[in-house]
Amino acid sequence: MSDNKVLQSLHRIESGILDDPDLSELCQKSKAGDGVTIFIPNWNHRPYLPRSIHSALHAVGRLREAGFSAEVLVIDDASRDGSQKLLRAIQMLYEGSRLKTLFLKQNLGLPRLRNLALQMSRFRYVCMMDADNELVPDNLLLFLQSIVETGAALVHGNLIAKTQGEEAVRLWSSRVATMRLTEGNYIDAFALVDARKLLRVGGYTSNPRLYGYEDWEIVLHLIAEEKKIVFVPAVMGYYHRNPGSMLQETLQKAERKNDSPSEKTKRSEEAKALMQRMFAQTGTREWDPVRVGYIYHPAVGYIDQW
Amino acid sequence: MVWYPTDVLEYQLLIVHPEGDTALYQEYPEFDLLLPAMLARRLFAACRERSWEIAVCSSRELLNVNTDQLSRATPAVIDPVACAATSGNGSKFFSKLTNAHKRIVVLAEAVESTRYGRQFHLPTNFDAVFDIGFVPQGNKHPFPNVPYHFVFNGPTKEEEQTIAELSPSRERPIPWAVVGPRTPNHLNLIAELMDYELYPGGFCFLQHPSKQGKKGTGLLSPSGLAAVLSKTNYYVWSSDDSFAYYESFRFIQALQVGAVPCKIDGNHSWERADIPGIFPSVRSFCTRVQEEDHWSMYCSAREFYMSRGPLAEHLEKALRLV
Repeated sequence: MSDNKVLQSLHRIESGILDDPDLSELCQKSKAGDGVTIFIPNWNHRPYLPRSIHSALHAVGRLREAGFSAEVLVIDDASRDGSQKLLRAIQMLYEGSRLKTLFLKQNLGLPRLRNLALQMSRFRYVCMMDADNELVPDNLLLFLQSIVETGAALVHGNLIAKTQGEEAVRLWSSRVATMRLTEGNYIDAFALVDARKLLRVGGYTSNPRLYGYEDWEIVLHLIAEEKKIVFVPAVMGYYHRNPGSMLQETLQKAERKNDSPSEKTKRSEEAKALMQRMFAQTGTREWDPVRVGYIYHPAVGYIDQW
Repeated sequence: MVWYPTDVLEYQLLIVHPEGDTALYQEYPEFDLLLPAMLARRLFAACRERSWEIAVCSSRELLNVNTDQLSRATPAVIDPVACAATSGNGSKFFSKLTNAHKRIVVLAEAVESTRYGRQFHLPTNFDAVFDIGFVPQGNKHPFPNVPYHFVFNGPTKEEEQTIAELSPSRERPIPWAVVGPRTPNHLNLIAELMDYELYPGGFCFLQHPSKQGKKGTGLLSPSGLAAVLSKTNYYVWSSDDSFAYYESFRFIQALQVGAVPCKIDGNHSWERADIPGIFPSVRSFCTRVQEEDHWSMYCSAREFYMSRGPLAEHLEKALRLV
């Protein structure tokens, strides 16, 4: 598909973004295939930014040492906690590094922000983070090699989830994609994606009924489009869970202020029902014998499962 | 099923292993099919080295074995509970076993485990239990009416040759690998290994078989695991149980492809076992790998394994006691 057609398709989906003359100029029509854009969205997460940005800049250094290019892109989604001031200070501190920041005047919401990052990225491969995530800098190279070598649309790896005040460790995004994904998502948005492939399928959905579930929708959407999803058995990063985590705030934002717990459950069930209507119409796809995900490691190649 | 002539054993030895159909595994996710398959293969190889009359069959195939033939055989049943469950007809399976001359339970389990105990509450009596491993557990065997025999899980001839041919020059880009069930111990092990930041590029694959689709178990295949370990320096795991047990098969899987087997166990003392590569903590593991290179640690593990004698020799001793 030509770039024009891609943009037409995007225009249909994200007309709100692309209609803004300031933002549409930011789109990178051609993307270099030899590097990664590490994207960090921010909305009122000032205390967490130093950790996520530091890990991202460290990863850029590691990729450069290995002969790849990389940049960090931080988009502030009209924060009201003074994040902008901090980001400007960080940018001055790391002057000359590949750190780009963009400050939005109006809040777009996480899915639109991610689509904007896909369009703005200088590189074809985009590492989608959240402001409270932390990359393992040495390992991003493994994921980049994997996505290049497999031609996958999305590669994911183990995410170590640490909850404030809890000793127990959890591992997220650590299972290979199967049609069980129609019952619930287990592949987090914190992953490396091929911007071209995601844009061609329309990017992250901004359907308000699926707000907070756009990472689940994109995974099933890619599977439906027969795009490759690859699990790389290494630790991609950390998910620092706390009362103000990006995911929880996104979900809270989607809920109305006065929603009761039962209404919240209802909204979640509605989103799940909608996803199943879209991707598991027969109600039997969770038993589909086709193995949709792959395991790959650059040192080994594809790894067989029983 | 293949029978080999011999004159060493009076009765034919028949190795029975759980049916290996992965679809069946979904119905009984608690059974580890990889270990019985490996155990059956190694016992078979050891017996052939001694030119004994030996046959191998799955639990389902046993149902079709001629009763007369069975009356002259001694079945060595690997994990009888799993065998019965995967045979398709548990009562017929045990009824068949009853026709045998003698019956041996073959296990590679901690004797304190529930799974070990369940093997001795079945509708058939066994004449002996063979515990295949690195550390004898006879003093803890809780069923005195079934004689316990320890069989050191030593190398087969083929393994000896494979291990002898390994050289230190092989490229190993993966610093460590943690592969196993998704237990809190393994989750903490990965988090700790990452905390030390020595080698963050480790291979981590924790399976959750019961959550996989009906097709497949979600486990790495034996060839997949071997491919990973052949590129790995240290194969690391932690104890999943509150009792002391050494997983000899993990040791062998690592050694065969040049990885160093490393068990992290802070709950038990292993000094008397003399097995190299057991560490009380991740910290002590990280300290050791900084002080001693991979090949030197590998050679220590190889020396331990090769010096204890071949599996066939240990198996023969045990069989003569039954």
